[in-house]
Amino acid sequence: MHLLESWLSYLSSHIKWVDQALNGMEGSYFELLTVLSLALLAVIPVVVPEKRRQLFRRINQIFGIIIFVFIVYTCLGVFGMINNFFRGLGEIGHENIIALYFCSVPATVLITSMIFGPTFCGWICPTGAIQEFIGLVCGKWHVQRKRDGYRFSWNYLALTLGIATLFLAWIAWLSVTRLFFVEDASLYWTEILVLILLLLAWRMKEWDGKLRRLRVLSFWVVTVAAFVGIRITSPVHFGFSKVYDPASILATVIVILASLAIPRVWCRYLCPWREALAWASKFSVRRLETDASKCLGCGGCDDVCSVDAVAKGEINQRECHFCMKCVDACPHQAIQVRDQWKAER
Amino acid sequence: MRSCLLTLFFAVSALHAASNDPWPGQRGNAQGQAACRTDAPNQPVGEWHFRGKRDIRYQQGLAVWASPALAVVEGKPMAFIGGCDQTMHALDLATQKQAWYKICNGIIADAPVVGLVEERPVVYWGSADRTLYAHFAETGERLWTRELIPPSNTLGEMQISAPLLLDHVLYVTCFAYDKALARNDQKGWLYALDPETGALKWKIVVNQGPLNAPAGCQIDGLNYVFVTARKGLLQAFNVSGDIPLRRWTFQMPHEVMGAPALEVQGNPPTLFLGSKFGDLMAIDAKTGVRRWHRMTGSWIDNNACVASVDGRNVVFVGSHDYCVYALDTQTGDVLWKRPLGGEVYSAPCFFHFQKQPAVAVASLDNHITVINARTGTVIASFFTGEPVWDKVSKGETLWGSPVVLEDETGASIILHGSYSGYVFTLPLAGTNSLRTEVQDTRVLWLGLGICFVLFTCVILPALWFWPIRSMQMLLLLLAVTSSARAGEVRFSLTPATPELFDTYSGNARTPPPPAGCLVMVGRMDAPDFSIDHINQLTAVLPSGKIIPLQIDEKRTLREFGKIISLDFYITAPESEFSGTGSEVVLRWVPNISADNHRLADFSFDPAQADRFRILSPLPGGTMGEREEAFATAAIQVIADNKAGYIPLWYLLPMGLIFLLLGIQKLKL
Repeated sequence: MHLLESWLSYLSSHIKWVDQALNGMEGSYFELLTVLSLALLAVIPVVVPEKRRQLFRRINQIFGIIIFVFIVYTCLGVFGMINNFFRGLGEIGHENIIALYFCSVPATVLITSMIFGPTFCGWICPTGAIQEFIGLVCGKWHVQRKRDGYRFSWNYLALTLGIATLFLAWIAWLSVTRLFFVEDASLYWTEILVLILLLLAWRMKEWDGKLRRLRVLSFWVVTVAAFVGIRITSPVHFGFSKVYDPASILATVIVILASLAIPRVWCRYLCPWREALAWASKFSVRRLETDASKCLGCGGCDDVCSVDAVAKGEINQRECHFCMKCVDACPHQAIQVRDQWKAER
Repeated sequence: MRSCLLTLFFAVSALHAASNDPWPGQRGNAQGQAACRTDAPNQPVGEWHFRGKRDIRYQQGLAVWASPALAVVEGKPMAFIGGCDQTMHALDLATQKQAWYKICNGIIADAPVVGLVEERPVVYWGSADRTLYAHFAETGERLWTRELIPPSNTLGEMQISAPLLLDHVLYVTCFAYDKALARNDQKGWLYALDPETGALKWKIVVNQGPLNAPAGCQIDGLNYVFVTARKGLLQAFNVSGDIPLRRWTFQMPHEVMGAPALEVQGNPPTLFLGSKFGDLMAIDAKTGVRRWHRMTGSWIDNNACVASVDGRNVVFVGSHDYCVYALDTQTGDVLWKRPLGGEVYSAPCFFHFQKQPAVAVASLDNHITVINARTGTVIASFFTGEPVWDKVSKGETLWGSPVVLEDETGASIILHGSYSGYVFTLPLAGTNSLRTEVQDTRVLWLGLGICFVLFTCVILPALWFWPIRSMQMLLLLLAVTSSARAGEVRFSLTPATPELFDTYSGNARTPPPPAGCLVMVGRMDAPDFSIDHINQLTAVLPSGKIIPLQIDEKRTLREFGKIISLDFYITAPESEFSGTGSEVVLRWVPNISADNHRLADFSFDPAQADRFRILSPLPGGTMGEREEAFATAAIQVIADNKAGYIPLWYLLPMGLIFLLLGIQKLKL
């Protein structure tokens, strides 16, 4: 265990490839690279050729992980962005460069979502990308479970119980080896994630839609906390901030393992930023639409959607991550990207 | 046998040389233990959060506070700390009051030291205003000030290190970039001064770049001073004679930010120095030969600390690989290594807590951690607040490190100037508001249990039965009401003390008044003052006359469009100061900027000194009557409430967003 702790601290202290934040603006620590990368990665979904779209999406996601986890110091954590946004708003008029620093990332994500749709979730977000890559390991199993209507599965139950056991054992170990701080609240989100997994072992079909409302609750809890000045650490905090935070490491490991059981489980049920982007993307000029005359209800789009945003060709815009896998998978081109900026033919 | 006796003799002599002054070096003693041991104080030292002049002053990437120095003055435990507020604060830890303060004209980037002059403790420190200060510790009365380098139009801000008191000589290093000189002609100086008078004994150029604080000890009866350049060159000087003699040099593999720590018990002593390459070197202090070197995982950018634990000498050092290391001084073997939550940027301090040896360090996870020096286990941890910068910057300067006051009863009090803007006095025993709140395992499990009950018994039924929009609106209401903080106008005015005026006149900055006129000098703290507002300040004299305020732009401390501190002059005929009113009033009046003007630069003619309201102190350090009169002059600020910045305006667009969200949810 001592070796494990040493290795984790080594991992945390070396997670960034550069020693200091890349200064983009003189006299401040505003990292221009962050905003430029975000904007560029958000534009790519619009310009990539349709034939190789999914390949480019994977490359985009890998770039997202490399830039935001390993290079820049600007926080792209799901809770941190909300906290920082409010802190930045409060600095307008006082410390404008600081306000720019804190607001630039969430503002860029919101604005690009309003313009291009929630491509951040499907194409950029490192947390989502890591879950998606891990979920590929059990891709066929996930499709089969979906086709079976998420019936009770012993394999699923065994996996979930294993995750819950690991969570409790790790907590027990941490509780006797280090001091916990108030901001280690990511543990509570992780606990709820484990409870969700257990609940979904039996009644996923009934509870799936209802549990997605937790994102709203999660968003408001983090927002209210940001208002009153309580700092809640994101479960993936350590990946963005170069801090040895064992609670955050535990939470990240649980999120990754949980995505073996249910693809993109964090995005589905608990991600507060996902809720904000779902709202922002309502104003987007780009959206997915199904041509009912072409759709044969084959279910090909259902199989590829990792967040169950499509059912028999019908798209739930609120849940859509704009990954466009359904568009590329449809043999009849029934689902298409509707771009209201382009002239109608 | 002979060598043993010699070792004992030199060790005792070295310790004796270091033990006269209460706090002779940057980190207290030569070992860098940063601990002040005292008798049990009459009044117990409690928890105290001191914030200077209420508002934070800082420069990005620089220390908000430098390391403090501790001393027992007249039986009272006192701390002396400076920082970016350009002020040296003397804090009485027992009564939790500021005993005195001294405003300088530049930041105080390094620790002060405390020595004895005729058995009276004196505080010495350097400021970026090119001046070295010496003030009596109990009263703040000035002993002397010494301008180290005369001003010139090409000289930048000076970096003066923490001084060193060794064998009744005060050593200090300084560097100021001179743009008139080529890069390889820059001068980093080592000065030797008389601590009683400030008289210069000698000075020598030791490098072409910034220098760190000197360290020193006696070797074979000779005084040695060790100076490290930021670029990594360590030099040893024999300073026993009239002129310094360079004995040896040692090039470290990378930049060095700290001063060497000494193991004085050995013969010869050993120096321990870390670099940004991540290595810790043990160097023979007499010959400059490397004894051993060990690597840590990342930068070492502060001092090490040497102490004896169970009869074995151990060197402690913090690294940016998040770890604190304890190594055997003789062999370099790692005795233990403790990973913490962030980069360990501070130098460790060594002390005893409940008869157990302990070290305390500060790290970039915003905590001070107290570690058992024997085993490396964590004893306690304290949250010291987040940085006031927008982003943690590191490796650019020597940040403040904690120091410890310990008494005979075994009570230990940590004192730390945090980058959050506070100076914390933290007793280790008993309750403490900064102690990390969840440190009990039971509390953690209780929290998880509450979370489980809340989720299964409240949230899940709510998701099943209740419309989510009602929860949203409730939380929206909570968010808006909880943010309702009232805006306020914050002004304070520091009365122009004799020290401030003395600083001005002593640095040839005060403007020469026209014949028959007086000049009044003042400094105002205006934390929420926009740059656009400073033209709108006027002064109302006792005669009732309104005159524009003359602002010294060079002394105006700004941060991102905000004025932090404002130095001003009021020049008026003498008769205007003797009207019916008794006060000079500063008034913020909107839209009256036409009459104002700024004075960009001043010169001072000492021959005109008798036309000033207050002058430099009389010989012997006593204040004259006119100075006292000036010091007690009441100054008042009248501010229009509209001048204040109301930070809640941003709620308007946010409120609109929430309203839209609510309308959409309710489908109104």
